Amino acid sequence: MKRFLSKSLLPNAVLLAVALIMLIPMLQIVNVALKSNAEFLANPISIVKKPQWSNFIEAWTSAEMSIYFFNSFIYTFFVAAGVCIVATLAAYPIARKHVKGSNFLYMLFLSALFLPAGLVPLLFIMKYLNLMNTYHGFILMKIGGGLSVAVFIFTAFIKGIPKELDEAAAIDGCGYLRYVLTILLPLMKPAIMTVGMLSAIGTWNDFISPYVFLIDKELRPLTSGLYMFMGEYTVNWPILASGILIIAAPLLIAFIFLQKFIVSGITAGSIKG
Amino acid sequence: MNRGASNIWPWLLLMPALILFSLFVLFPTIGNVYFSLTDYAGNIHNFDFVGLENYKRAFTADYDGVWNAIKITLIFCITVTILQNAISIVLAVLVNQKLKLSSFYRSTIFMPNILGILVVGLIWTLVFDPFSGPVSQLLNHFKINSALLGDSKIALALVIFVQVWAHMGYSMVLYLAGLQSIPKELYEAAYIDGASGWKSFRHVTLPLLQSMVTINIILMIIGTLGTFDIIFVLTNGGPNESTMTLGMYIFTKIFSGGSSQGYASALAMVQFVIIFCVVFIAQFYSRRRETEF
Repeated sequence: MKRFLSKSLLPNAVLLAVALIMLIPMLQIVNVALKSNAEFLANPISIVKKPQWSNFIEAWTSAEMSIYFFNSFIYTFFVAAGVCIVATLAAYPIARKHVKGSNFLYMLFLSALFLPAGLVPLLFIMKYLNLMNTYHGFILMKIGGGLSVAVFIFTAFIKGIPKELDEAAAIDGCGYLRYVLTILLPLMKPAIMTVGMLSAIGTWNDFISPYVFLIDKELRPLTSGLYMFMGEYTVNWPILASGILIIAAPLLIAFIFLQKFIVSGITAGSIKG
Repeated sequence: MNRGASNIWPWLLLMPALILFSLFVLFPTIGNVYFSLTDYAGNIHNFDFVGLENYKRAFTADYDGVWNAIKITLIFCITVTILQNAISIVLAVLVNQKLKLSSFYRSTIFMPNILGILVVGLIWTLVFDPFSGPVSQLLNHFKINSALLGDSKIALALVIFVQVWAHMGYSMVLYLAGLQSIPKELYEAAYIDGASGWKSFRHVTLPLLQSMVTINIILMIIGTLGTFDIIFVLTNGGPNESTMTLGMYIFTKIFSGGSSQGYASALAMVQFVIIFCVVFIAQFYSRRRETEF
């Protein structure tokens, strides 16, 4: 017992210290979010005495978060679903080498992971195709940007599904597209969960692309809504902190329940050898 | 049987991905070369070819600003890469042990990656707030007055700290995957040969983790050399351009009036060349140290 204690004491001490460095700033946000502005100004770091739940309501209404929340959900859902479907459709022919040059296509998708995105040409093409400042334009652009990782993960996954299944389905007269959508897609559930989570988190958190590609306030998601809100209300930290928590809440809930998929996605997405 | 070979269906399935990828990834990547040679300023119908004019401007008229940005980018990149690697290897080794709270530690350290850069940036803006943030309150206690992110001497160090804080969980998860792929027999063999603790870490763990180190280093270099989002939230490149990385410099050039976006493209090409060179050098040195087992 003594040996066990001394052996795990040092790691525990170090990790506990690190965990505190991680948690204290986040807890301070919660702390500030619950204070009244007067209490915050008088004593910014003390632990909150009388929680002001109304701060959340004020943040929600004064930052007009219902529009932003709706937009964030639309973008997150359609981008994640779009990436999963479009990448699955593409990954199947690539993984099974059903087209000439499938290795080249695979490398082409992969290469984008290493190349920096050109913001200026992207702005040009968005303007040229009249996609600036529209829901569909923003969603299509984000799907395009998410394909590389998705194709990479899906291709690896489909290679692990036995080819005999393709053949059995073909003998039974199952068409190509129907096979992918009704037989392959359900089998790919773990990979789809992973990719879906990754692109959902990425889209929900993205605030640079909305800042660049969405101009109208009505089209902006939570992140850029909050960023604009910060410019207007720099002084009122309790309200801003409540806003931060409103953005973070769905992410934290997702993280607690779906941690496995998120972590496996990160490992799979980076070990590209 | 090769059901796809003579069929149009595989191509049909590939089409949506190919179209979206070409439009929004491939074209923007290649298009940078072209736009860097034009005076494009946001008007898609009216811009001209100007040859190497933009590059000339970067290295003559704007030399000081560009050079300052490159210098800060390299400092940022090298410091973050070294710190984040060192810390996350140690963390991965520690959470890989059988501790009661291992999964709690792992989730906590990883959490900022879920929260995203805007939330992380705002959290630290509050913590580093020179009037009401806990850090300045603590410093006041010791009679130290500091503008923190507003002080050009330490702003970069603080931004580096936040960057490492936010991303070390990501590298830790990668290293953890690497550690778990090392066969246990190797440690037993090393133990029989009299190596344990630090020795087995130095001679068994580290060499076998080297391929993961390569991946991490390359990911970090690509990430940090292009960084601007965290800086955009924390300091916006200031104070006195002391946190103006090349990525941030390019970003401000795109949206500042008068300056052509073609010029920003030229700077992005410079950035690409720097990333390419640094990754190439790092890969060369890191790969040489990889061991097979």
